[in-house]
Order: sequence, then C-alpha cells, then structure tokens
Amino acid sequence: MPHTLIIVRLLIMLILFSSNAYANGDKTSKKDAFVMNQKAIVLLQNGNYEKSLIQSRHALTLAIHYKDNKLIASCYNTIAANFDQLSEYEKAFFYYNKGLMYADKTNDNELKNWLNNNLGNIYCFDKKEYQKGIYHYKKSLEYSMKIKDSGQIVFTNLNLAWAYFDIGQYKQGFPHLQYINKHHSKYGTTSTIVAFNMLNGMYNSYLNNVDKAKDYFNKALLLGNTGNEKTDLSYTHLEFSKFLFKNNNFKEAYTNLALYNAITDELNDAAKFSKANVAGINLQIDEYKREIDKIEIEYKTKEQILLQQQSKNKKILVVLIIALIMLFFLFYFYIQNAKLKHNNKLKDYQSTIQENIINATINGQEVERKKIAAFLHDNISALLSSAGMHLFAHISQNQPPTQEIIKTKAILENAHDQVRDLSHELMPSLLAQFGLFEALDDLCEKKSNSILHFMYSSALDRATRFDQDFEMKIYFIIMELLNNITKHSQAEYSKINLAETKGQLKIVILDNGKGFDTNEFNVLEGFGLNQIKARIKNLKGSIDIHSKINSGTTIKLIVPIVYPKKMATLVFPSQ
Amino acid sequence: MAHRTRIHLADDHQILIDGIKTLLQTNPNFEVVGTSINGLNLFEEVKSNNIDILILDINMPGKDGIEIIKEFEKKGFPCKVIILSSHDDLRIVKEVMKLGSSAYLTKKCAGENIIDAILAVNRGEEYFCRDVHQKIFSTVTKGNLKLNKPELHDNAILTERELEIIILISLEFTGKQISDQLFISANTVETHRKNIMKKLDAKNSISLVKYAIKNRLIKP
Repeated sequence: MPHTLIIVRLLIMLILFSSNAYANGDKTSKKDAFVMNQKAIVLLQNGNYEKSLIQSRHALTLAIHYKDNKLIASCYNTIAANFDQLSEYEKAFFYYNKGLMYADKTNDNELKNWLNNNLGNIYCFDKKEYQKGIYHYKKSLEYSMKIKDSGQIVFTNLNLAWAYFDIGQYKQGFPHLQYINKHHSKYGTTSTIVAFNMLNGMYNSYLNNVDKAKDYFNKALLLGNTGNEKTDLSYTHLEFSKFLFKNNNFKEAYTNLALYNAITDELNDAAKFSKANVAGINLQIDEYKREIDKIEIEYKTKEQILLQQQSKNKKILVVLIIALIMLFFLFYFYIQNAKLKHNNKLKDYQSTIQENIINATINGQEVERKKIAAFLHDNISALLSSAGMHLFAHISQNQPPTQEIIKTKAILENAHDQVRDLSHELMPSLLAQFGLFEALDDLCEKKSNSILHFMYSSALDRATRFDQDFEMKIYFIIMELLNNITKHSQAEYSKINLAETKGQLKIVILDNGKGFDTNEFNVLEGFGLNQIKARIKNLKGSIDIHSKINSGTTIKLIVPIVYPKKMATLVFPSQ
Repeated sequence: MAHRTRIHLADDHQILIDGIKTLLQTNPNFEVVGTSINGLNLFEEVKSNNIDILILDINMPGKDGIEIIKEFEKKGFPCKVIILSSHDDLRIVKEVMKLGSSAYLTKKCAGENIIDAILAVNRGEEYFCRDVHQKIFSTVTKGNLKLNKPELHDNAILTERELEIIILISLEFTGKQISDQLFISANTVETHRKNIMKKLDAKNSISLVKYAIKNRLIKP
C-alpha cells in the first residue's frame, strides 16, 4: 500500500533528524583535553603544582563536557596527585575517590590500578586505615595483573606486605613478601629496594631470625643512605629501632629512632619548603577545590538541563511517533472501512442488478407473452377463420366436398385449436376480459381434478378490476404456486383466499401436502421460489413461506395494489 | 323469401370480413349491407341502415364488442347480434348472452356455422356454434353420474339441441335452470320442449323421462 510507505519514510527521516540533533561528537576538542592533561602530568612531575592544577582543571572541564569517563578519571587522578604532593591528603583522597568512580565506568585497568594504589597509600600512610588500604591495594594488584605489568605487580605486592606487617599481620603479609623475594631481582627498581630489604628485616624480626633480620636491615640502611628514598630510609630506621628494642639493644635502638626523627623532620621541612615555593598556593588551594567542584556541579546542572531537554525532546518524539502510528492505524481502519463499505455497496449493486435482471427478464417475458398471445389470438385466428369462410363458400358451391376439402377443414380446425390453446396458456382471455378474480376462479376450477381439489374463495367482488399489468403479474405468480402444488405437494386439497386491506392485496395459499424444508436452497431454487420472491419484491410486496415436512405449506403474499389508470388499455390490442 | 336479411359485419380484420362476405354471398337471402373495422359509430350505422343482424367481434379497437352490446342494451337493440370471437371461455359467452346477444360463434367454427347461426337467429332462436354448445352442455352436466356418454345418443327424431333439453328435463332441471345454464331464453326452452313433446307424441314431462331412459340418454 502506498500510504504505508510514505509513513515509514517519514519515520526514518524523523529518527535521522533527531539523532543528528543529539549527536555531540567532536574528536578534536577531546584530543585537546587529553593533551592538556598530559601537560598537567608533566607539570606535576616537574613539581609545578600550581600550573599543573590549572591545566588539569581545564582538561577536566573539557573532559566532563565530552563525557569521556577515562579522561575525567585521568584528570581527577592528576588533580589528586597534585594535592597529594602538596600534602593535602584529605583533598587528594577526595579526588582519588572521584577519579576511581569514573575509572570504574571504563575498562582502563591501568588507570584503575593507579587510583587504587594511590588510595591504598593514603589509607595506609596518612589515614592509618589499613583494612581499607589493603582493600584498595588488592584491587590494584588485581588490575596490575590484568594489565600484566610485572613491575607494578611487584610494587603492589610490596605495598600489601608492608601494610600487613605494619598492623602485625605477618602471616597474611608473607605470601606477598614471598612474591617480592621471587621476582624483585628481575622487576624491582631502586625506588623499592630499600623497602624490600626493610620488609624482609621486619619479617625475620617477627620470626626472631635475629641475624637474618639484622642483615636485611643493614642492607636496607646501606641502600637507603646511598639512594634517594629518604622516606623509606626513615621508616627502615624506625623498624630497625623497633627490632633492636625487641632484642634489648636499647642503645642502638635509640640511635636509630633519633635518626628516624631526624630524617622525618628533614622531609617535613622539605615539604614545607616545596609548599613555600608555591607561595600563595596554600591560600588558593581551597579556591582550586571550589573551582574544580564547581566544574562538575555546573556541568551537572547543565547536564541535568540537557537531560531534561533531551527527555522533553524524547517525549515529544515519542508522542509524535505514537501520533503518527495512531494516524496510520486510523488511516488504515478508514481505508479498511471504506473498502468494506465499497464491497457492501458493490454487493448491494450486484444483488440489485441481479434482481433487476430477473425482473427485466420477467417483464420482458410478460411483454412478449402479451404480444405473442395477442398476435395468435387476433391475427392468426382471424386468418384461419377467413380461410375457413372461403373453404365453406367453396364447399357450399361444390357439393359433395372432396376428401381433400374435408381434410383441409380438419387441419384448419386443428390449427385453430392449437392457436387457441397456446394463446390461452400465454394469456387467459378471462384475465383480460373479466379480471383477476374471474380468471383465478376459472384457474382453480380448471386445475382441479379427482385427486387434487383447488378451493377458491375471495372477500372481494368478482368484478373488481386492478391495473392489467398488476393483475397479470399476480395471476402468473399464483399460477406458478398452484403448479408447484400440483407437481410437488401430493396434497389432496388446496385453498386459495384473497382479501383486500388498506390498499394491500392479501393472498393466502395453503395445501395439505408433504411440505418441504424452507431452509434448503435447492428446494427454493427448484420450486422457482427465489424467482417468485424477486417478482414479489419488484411489486414491493412480501412473501412468507411457512412449511414443515409432512405438515403442508402455507404461503402468504401481501402486495400493494396497483389500481387501474383512467382507461384500461386493451390486453389484446388490435392492429 | 320476401325480405333479404340485411347483415352488417364488424371485425378489425379486413381479411376476415372478406371471408365472411364470400361465404354469405353463397346464400341469396343474405345481403351484407355494411362493414366496420372498429366499433366507433356502430350503433348509429346499424340503426340507420335498418340492419337485421350484426356480426360482431369482441376484440376491436376504439370500442370493443362488449362495450357495443352494453351500448345496445342501454339504447335498445337496433338489430340482433351474433358474436364472432376467438374467445371460447364460457364466462365470456355467458356475459355476452346475458347482455342480449343472440348467438355466439368462435372463429374456429364460424365457417361451418355462420349460415346456420343467421338462420336460427332469424327464427328468433339462440345459437351457439358446436364447440361452444358442447362445452356449455358438458359444463352443466359435469360430474352427473346419471348421464350416459353422448356417443350413445343416436337419435333420428330429435335434434341435438332437443336431446340436450330432454336430458336436462330428465335430470330434473327446471325450465328456468335450463335457460340459465344453457344461456338461452326461457322462451326458447319452452319452444324446444313443445317441439319435443309434439315429435314424441308425449303428454307430459314423465313421458319425456321415460323416453330418455328408454333411449339410454340417461341411466335409470
């Protein structure tokens, strides 16, 4: 159907249009954000925290705008790392968590690894919430294993072992230590070697392997003093001090504790110094935080507005589509309805045409009947009669008649009889001369025999006349019904009654015959009843057939009477 | 005969008029005075021409035969009327006889009977051509078990009409009934009865019944 196609096309166009309206992809700007973040990371590594923060903040704005979760997480990580470096652990903690939230939405395992590790660090070293720290370390270990970064795996294991040892859970920490011992030579770095030796020292101290512990601690101290890992060195001094204290070597324990304090102070000073280097940052840090937070809040409001807009647009679209679909269905039903109506009309037309054909046929038959009957009755019989006159004129002059003349006379009489019979069958002269009632009475009388008796009765005066065509139609309908009774009913008697009420002719024909099933089409068709129905309908009358097998048949006809026009036209018009 | 019977023919078929003329010319006592091929002004024409007998068709344009007889009945018959029609329904016959026609001929037997009909009408009798005659009689006696088959009626003394009358009398029809059923006047019936009694030399009706039984006109 062409209508459907149009609607489908319309729908496709709409969808295309809307998807264009909602598409926001712009790769160049995304790239800018990425580059910005990279710059911020470089700035961070160079200790230029203030600029790094500004840069990462811009990157974050863009990243949030483009909904790039990976980039958002990365930016948060950079921001948090900056705060971490500025010893603003609370803020760092806050942004690491944010970063992790976004990272978890992506499949970037490296990023997740970093964020978890950094969070673990803050829990363990700054907040001293070891269990939570261990949870993040383990997560970090999981992701580092996924990315198959052996260095990272060693590093995280080291952090885990340290965390467990710090809270005295040596047994839990041991497997991690074992892993480091196995792989450190291959994947370890100078930054972890001090801690590596220190942890072994701690474990051996726990096992009371005094000599071994001493060896590890000394090795750690040696490496710490030659290397750059001052923090680790300070912790080694602290742990070594604990070991010595445990082994009652109080003097050396004290010395190491003093060294630990000294290095820690030194480190704190350095931190203070670095903070002082970014003078003003202290004041601005909160500002930065507010700014960064604002980015997201602003974005969220924007996004909310956008979402609202989108949902509104979506609603409009949905409503539009539903409306279209409904329109389509309405249209479809309309078409179907119209089709149905059309079909019904067609059927009506067909049945009307059928009826018209039947009626035209019957009317035509009647006209022809009249014509032929009149022709036979008048012209042919006049001709035959005239021939007879001439013949008898001849006979009277030529007595006695020859055989041929006698034969001719007989043939003439025969021809007269046949013409008379046929003409009478076509159009009874009584019907024309004396009307319906005389003709019907005569018909009943003539049709009656010793087996079947037709009883005629009428409430109307015998002389009553109706329109001749009407009389003829009724007469032939009744004749057909009586013929049916004679042929099919096996009845002994039949009654025909006529009455008139309010311009309607009521005819009842009943018999005591065997009856028939009125529902059987074949019977109706076989008895010509359907044709009779059509004829009655043409006269605007009604027919009611009531019959049951073995209980006779009653047929009621009610037909509006057509009264004669002023002058009755002759049924047998002469030429 | 001092007076030739003046005859008028009214039929819408000229060829039939010609046929009748030809036939009637064979009898020197008949004179066809005029013809009409429709029913208009027929009354005036017949009256002014002093017509004795009008031979009239029922189906005619302008005015049909029945209307004309009705007109005659109303205005008084100017002549006797013989109906010559292709109809042979007794109801039509009865109707026109009731209206005052004197004879009824079908076109079938017109050739054979028209001269007899004119002669009979001239005598003042009713006349039916043989077919109609038989039809009337068989209708009257239809279903009457006492009646013997007409083939048995072999009678040299009585005419056909007289046989019918004697049969009906024997079947206990009154004169009035006979006149009604045979579409003939009571006078005619009486004339026939008298003629029969004279021919048979009968003294009363009982003698007639006796004769009928004896001659197997009816079953005893």
